[in-house]
Amino acid sequence: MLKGLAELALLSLLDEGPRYGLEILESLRRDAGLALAEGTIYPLLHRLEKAKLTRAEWRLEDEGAHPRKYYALTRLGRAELVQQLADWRRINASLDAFLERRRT
Amino acid sequence: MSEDERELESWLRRMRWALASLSDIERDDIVAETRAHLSERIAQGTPTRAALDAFGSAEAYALHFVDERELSGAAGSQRPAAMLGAIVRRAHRSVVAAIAFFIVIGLGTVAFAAVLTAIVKILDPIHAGLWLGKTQFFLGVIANPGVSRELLGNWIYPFAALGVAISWLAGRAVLVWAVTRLARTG
Repeated sequence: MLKGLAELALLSLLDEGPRYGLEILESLRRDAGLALAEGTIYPLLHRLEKAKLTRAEWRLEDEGAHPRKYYALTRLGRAELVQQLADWRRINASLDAFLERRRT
Repeated sequence: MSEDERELESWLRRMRWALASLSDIERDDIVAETRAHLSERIAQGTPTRAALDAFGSAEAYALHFVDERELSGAAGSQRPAAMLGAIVRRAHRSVVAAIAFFIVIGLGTVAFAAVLTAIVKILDPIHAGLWLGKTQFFLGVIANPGVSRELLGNWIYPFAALGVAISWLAGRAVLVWAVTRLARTG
């Protein structure tokens, strides 16, 4: 389940603009509250790139800096994000209604 | 080369070996990205040993990529053999894979029994068929046909063909569901 949530949060993050792995990991931990292990994000990024939901490019921003692989959402990735958001909202609404059933 | 650098290079080398089933381009890319991540963590002040420990063993970390690759390949191709192989290799560590495996085995057994009974029916029409008795209901060969009633007669042949077709379609649907779910949720 965490993997599915990580994928949705990752697609949503990349919808704001290109990001690199470490930046993505720290944002998902800090902003999305996902308890992701250090190496969790890269196999997921690799799969999304293979599925053409993201495209990646290596950048060397400053001289002497570490090269970073930046990921950006493709059109296919945006369509997947819309679909996954709709699924998440539907599941969330159903679960919410179920959990609140005794309070009404 | 310092001790820390040697440790880092050794970890990356073991990871590269463990990624042997991927293409050289993919392998180089994954190792380069992992190296960049670790270098940045170390530059932030994380000790090399702690940065590596956060990833776990090189072999276990590499297995995530191999797993992702196999599952997405199987889900993308939707070839039954590739999907079944991916499911069988995960049946001992995934509930979804185990459920899919047992459903597919069950469907395969029903189809196999139907075909086998249809073949035996050609050779021995008296003893083979779908039998209903007071205490038994089964598809196959009976020793004493006098105690049970055979339900299908020559309909066993289209029944067997239908059984194979339904088992194939249902089994394929279960495999597609399982590999897609595993690729998404692990």
